[in-house]
Amino acid sequence: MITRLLKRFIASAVTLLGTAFLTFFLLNAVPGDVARVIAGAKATPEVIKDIHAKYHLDDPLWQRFGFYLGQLAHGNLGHSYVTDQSVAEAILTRLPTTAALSSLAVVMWVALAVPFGVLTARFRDSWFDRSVLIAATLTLSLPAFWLARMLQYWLGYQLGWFPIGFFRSFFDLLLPAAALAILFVGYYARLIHTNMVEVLDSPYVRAARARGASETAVLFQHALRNAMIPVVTILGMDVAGLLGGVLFIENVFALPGIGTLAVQSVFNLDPPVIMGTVLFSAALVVGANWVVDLLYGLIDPRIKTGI
Amino acid sequence: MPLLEIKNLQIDFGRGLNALRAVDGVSLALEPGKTLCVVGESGSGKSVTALSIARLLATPPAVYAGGEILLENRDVLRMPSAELRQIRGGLVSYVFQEAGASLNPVFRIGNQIREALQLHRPEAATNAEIIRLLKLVGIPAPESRMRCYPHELSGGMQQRVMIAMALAPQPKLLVADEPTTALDVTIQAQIIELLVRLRQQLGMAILLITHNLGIVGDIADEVAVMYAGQIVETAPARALLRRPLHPYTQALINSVPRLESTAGRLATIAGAVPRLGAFPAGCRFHPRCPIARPECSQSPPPLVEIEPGRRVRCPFWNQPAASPSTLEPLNP
Amino acid sequence: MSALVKFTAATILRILVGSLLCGTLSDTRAGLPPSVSATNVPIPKRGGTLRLAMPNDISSFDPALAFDTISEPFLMLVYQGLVEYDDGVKLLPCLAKNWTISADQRIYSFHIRPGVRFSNGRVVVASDFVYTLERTLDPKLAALSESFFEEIAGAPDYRAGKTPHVRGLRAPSDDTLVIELTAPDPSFLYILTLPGALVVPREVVAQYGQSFGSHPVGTGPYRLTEWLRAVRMRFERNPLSTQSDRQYLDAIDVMEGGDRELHLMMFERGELDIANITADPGIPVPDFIRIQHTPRWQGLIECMSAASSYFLVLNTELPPFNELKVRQAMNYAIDKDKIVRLLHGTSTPANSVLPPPVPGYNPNLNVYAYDPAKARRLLAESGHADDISFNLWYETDSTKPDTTATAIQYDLLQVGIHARLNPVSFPAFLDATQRRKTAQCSISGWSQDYPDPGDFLDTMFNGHRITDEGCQNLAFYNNPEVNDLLAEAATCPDPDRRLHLYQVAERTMLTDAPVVPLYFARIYALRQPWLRGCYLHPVLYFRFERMWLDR
Repeated sequence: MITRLLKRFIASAVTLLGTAFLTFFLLNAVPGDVARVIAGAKATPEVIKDIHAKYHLDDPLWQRFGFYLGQLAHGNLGHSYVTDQSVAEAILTRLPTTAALSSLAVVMWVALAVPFGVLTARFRDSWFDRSVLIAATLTLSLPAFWLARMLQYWLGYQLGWFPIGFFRSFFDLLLPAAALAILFVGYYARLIHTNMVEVLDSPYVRAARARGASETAVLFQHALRNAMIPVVTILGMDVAGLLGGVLFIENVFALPGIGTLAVQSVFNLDPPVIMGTVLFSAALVVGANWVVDLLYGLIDPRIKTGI
Repeated sequence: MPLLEIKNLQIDFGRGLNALRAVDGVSLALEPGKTLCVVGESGSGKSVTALSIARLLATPPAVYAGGEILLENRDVLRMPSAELRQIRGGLVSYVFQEAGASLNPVFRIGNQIREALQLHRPEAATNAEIIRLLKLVGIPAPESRMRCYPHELSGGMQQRVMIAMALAPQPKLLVADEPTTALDVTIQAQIIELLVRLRQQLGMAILLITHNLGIVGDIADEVAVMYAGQIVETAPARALLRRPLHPYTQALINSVPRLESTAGRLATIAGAVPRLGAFPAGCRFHPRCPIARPECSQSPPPLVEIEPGRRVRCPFWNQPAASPSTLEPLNP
Repeated sequence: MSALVKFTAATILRILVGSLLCGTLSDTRAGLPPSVSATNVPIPKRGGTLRLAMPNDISSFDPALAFDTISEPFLMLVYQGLVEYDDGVKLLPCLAKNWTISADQRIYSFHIRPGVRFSNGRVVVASDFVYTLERTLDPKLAALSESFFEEIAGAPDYRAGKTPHVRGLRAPSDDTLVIELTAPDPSFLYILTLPGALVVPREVVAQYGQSFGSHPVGTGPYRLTEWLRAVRMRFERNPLSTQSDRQYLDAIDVMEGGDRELHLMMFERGELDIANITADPGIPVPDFIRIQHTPRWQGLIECMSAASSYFLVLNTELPPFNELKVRQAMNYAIDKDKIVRLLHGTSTPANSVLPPPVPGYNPNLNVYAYDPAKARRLLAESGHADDISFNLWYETDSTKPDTTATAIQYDLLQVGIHARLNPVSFPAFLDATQRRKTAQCSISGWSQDYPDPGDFLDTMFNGHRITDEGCQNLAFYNNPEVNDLLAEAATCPDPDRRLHLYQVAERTMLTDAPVVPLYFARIYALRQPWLRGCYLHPVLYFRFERMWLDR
C-alpha cells in the first residue's frame, strides 16, 4: 500500500515537473520579449537592457529554469514581471470567481443532464430520444467563444434580461454559467443515457421491477445510482479542468477568474504568471485523478479503496 | 380454482413481417401450493413464458401476441400498471438464475430486503423481520450479514438472499428461473432442499424453470416439457420420469448420465434445437425424432390429453419406431 | 440687496464662469460640439461617480514604471509635476509657480509652489523633485522614460555609479529647484510633463519598496483608494488637494477586463459613462458607422486629431529598399485615400510624418501623389519591373494594421510588387523591426511623447541614433544633410528658426522616401449625454479630473 502510494506520488511529481519543463521551454520559443511588453513601444535599448538585467532574462535557459524550480521548491511561485503582483496571490484571489462560475454551471448542467439522460434511456429510440440526441450533438459542438458572445449580445445587450459583463453580484454569473452549462450538458446527457441504457438492461433492474418497484424508483434509485458511477468520476476530472480557468467564457464576460489571468499573461509574455497558471491547472488535474480514484472507491462498493 | 392459468400464450419477438414466434400456444395450470417444473433446452421458450407471468418482458422487442395469463383469475396481460405493481412481489415473486447479477451491487442486502418489505408489507419493514427472513433461508450471522454488499457473499449465499427477498412480501407463487444452474452441485442440492422446506412451511406454489431433469424428481409435483416454443408433454412428475411418452422427453431422460452405466459414450440427441423462425414444417421435433414418419413433416400435431393429467403432442407416442432408432445404444 | 440685483449678479456670474470655461478650450480641438451660448452654459455640479472600463490592467501606479497612453490620464489623477498642459499643447505652471531659464538655455531655476501637500499630509519641497528625478534615472529601477532625462548634467556618471547624486539636480532651498542640462534643449519643459518627472514622496517609496506601484501617494486631486489588480480601480477625492475645479466628481470607478465590444454594449445600456477610453479609435471599427448614424448618439461623439502618424517603413539598409527609385515607386503606388475609406474614416490621409497637432505640421507638404503609372516607370528604370518581393511586417494586436496591410499589398501588386503579409504579435513585431537587417518593410507608427517635432523627426530619422537592437530609426536612415539639420534644430534657441529647420529636415527626408506616410489617426470618445467636461486633449487624451456629471 505504501509502495503503491509512493509510486503514485512520484508519478504525479514527474508529471508536474514535465509540465513545468515543457511550458518553460515552449515559452522561450515564442517570439517576442517580455521586456518589450513591460517597457512599451517607445522603450529605448537602455531601458530594455535594464529590464533584462532586473529579471535575469539574459541568463542561460537552464539556469533560469533551475532558479525557477528552486523557487518552486520553497513554495514560491514568483512575481509577475509585468504587474509585480505575487503569482500565488493573483491565482488565489481569482480562484473564487472561477470556482463560483464552475460550480454554478455544474449544478445547472447536472440538473438538466440527469432527467434528460434518464428519460431518453427509458424511452429509447422515441422521437424524444432522437431530438435530445440532435440537441446534445449540436450544443457540444458549439464554439465556446461564439456561444458566450451570442448569449451576451442577444440576452444581455439586446433584450436586457441579464447583465452583460463583469462580476459585481451573483446575477452576473448566471449568463456565463448558462453558457458553460450549455457546452457540457449535451455530453453529460448522452453519457448518462448510455450508462442508463446499459444498466436498464441488467438483471438487477429486472429483479427490482419483479419486486413491484415503481418505475420512478427503478429509474432513479436502482438504475441511476449505478449509471452515475462513471459519470461522477468524469465530472471530477471536468471540474478540475474548469477550476484551472474557464478561458473563453471568463474573457468574453470579463469575469476576474483564472481564465482571464491566464490569457492576459500569455499576451503579456509574462513567464512567472504563465508558469503559475499552467502548473496550477496541471496540479488540479493530477489532484483530481487522486480524488476521483478515492471517490470511485467510495461510491462503488465493489471497488476496494486502492489508490 | 388454479392459482395460475396460462391459456394459449403467444409471444413474438419483433413486429410485422419480422416477427418471430418464441412461445406458440402454451397452456399451463398451477394449483395453490403445488410445484410445477417446466423443462426444456435453451431456446425452448421456457424462460420467456416464466417472465411473462408478471409481464416482465421488455416490450419492445417482445410482443404479447395472444392468449391470457390468469393469476387468481385476473388477466396479467391486460391489467393496469398500478395493479400489476401490486401483484409483482405481492402475489408472485421471482428468483433468477444469476443471483449475484440480480442483486443491486451498490445497496447493502439488508436494505434491498427492506425495500421488498416496504413495497408490500410496510408494517413489517423492520430489522427484526429482515433478520428473520435471513435466518429462514439459512444465512448464518444474519445481524452482521445484513450490512454486506452482494459481492461480499458467495454464490450460494447470494441465491439464498434472493430467495429471502422473494419471500419477504409473502407471495403465493414463486417463479424460479433456473435458480441453481449457476451454482455448483452441492450448493444446488442445498438450495433445492431449502425450497422444498419453505414450500412446506409457507404453503406457496412454485413454478420452477430448469433444463436439469435431476432437480425435477426432488421437487416437482407436475412437469411440463417444452420444445421450440410449444409444450410437448405434461404429466405428474413421477409418472413422467418413469414412463415418458413423447420421444423428446424420452431422449432427454436417456441423456442424463447414470453412475451405474458402463457406456463408453454419453447419449445425445442428434441435431440441434431449431432457431426462431426456422422451425421445421409439421412436428417441430421430427428431424431429430427416432420414431418420425412421413406424416410428421406434414401436419403439426396437437397437444392431446391421453389420460387425466397427462398430455402429449405426438400421435405416435404409443407406437414403436417405424425406422431404425436414431438413439445411440446404451450398451454397445 | 434687492432680489433683482441678486438675480442679475448671479446671472452675470454664470456668464463669466461659462465664458471662462469656454475660453480655456484650445483651438487645436476638432469636432467641437455646438457651442452653447454664453447665457446657457451649465454650471458644473459636484457629485457622482464616473464609471469607466478598460480592457487591460495598468501595470503600475509608480509613475516611473508607467509610460503608455492608457495609464497617463489615471496617473494625472494622482500625481502632478512642475508644469502641466493647458487645454492644448502649451504649458502652464503646476507645482512650479514660475521659473527662469539661463542665457545659455542650459540652467532652469524653478520656484516651487508653497503649501502643496502629498496625500499623506507632507508638504512638497524642492528636494522631492531631486529625489524623483534621481530615482527615475537609477538603472536598478529600469524606469521606462528614463532616457529622456539623460540630458541632465551628470546623469550618465550617476547611472554608471560614479557619483552618488546627479550633478545637474540641485535644491538650494526648500522652494528652489535648479536643473542643469549638458546642452540646451528647447523642448526640455515638455520633458518635465513625462511620468518620470511626476513627484513622489521618498518616505512612502522607502516604506513600500517594490510595491509602491500599488500604493501611490501624490499631490493630485484624487487618490487611488482601491485596486483589485486587473479587476477594478477606484479613485476618490484627495481632501488635501486645493484644486476644487478639478474635483467635481466624488469618485471614479474603473472596471478592468473585457474587450471593446463588451464595453460598447455596456455603454449603450447606460452602464458606462464613456464607451471606450482607449481613444484610438475609441469606437470599435465595425461599430463605427452604425454609431455615427444612430440618432441617439448624435452630438455625443467627441473627436480630435491625434498626434500620431502611421507610415510604411522601408528599411534602407536591405534590398530592395536600398534603392531610391524603388522607395519612390512605393510612395507613388499606394492609394492613401482608399486606406482611409477602408478604415471607415477613423483616420485622415497623410503626406507627411508630422501629424496636425504637432507644431511644424505642414498641410501643404505632398512630395509624392498617388500615381501608379509613375511607379511602374520608376521600377522599370531601376530594372526591377517584376522581381520585387518582400515580407510586410505588421502587428496584430489591433485591427487597423491588418486592413492597411491588405490594401497596401493589393496596391503594390498593381505595379508588379509582391508583398508577403507577415502578421506577428506586438512584442515580436517590435523585436524584429528594431533589429538591424531584419525586417525589410513594416507598417509602423509613432505617437508623440510630447508635442514637439523633434520627438518625431529626431528619434526616427537621425542617422546617429541607429543601433543594432532596439533602434527607433526603423528605416535605418542615415542622411548627413538631415542629421545636421536635426542637430542644429535640437539646440536652436529661436523657436521660429527651429521649426523651420525641422520642416526642411522633414521635406528632405521625405524626398529620400525612407517611409511612405499613410494616415493620421483621429481619436474618438463616445460619451453619455449627462457627462460634461469630456473634452479630448491632444497629449493626455482624457482629463478625468475636469469632468462632471449632470444629473
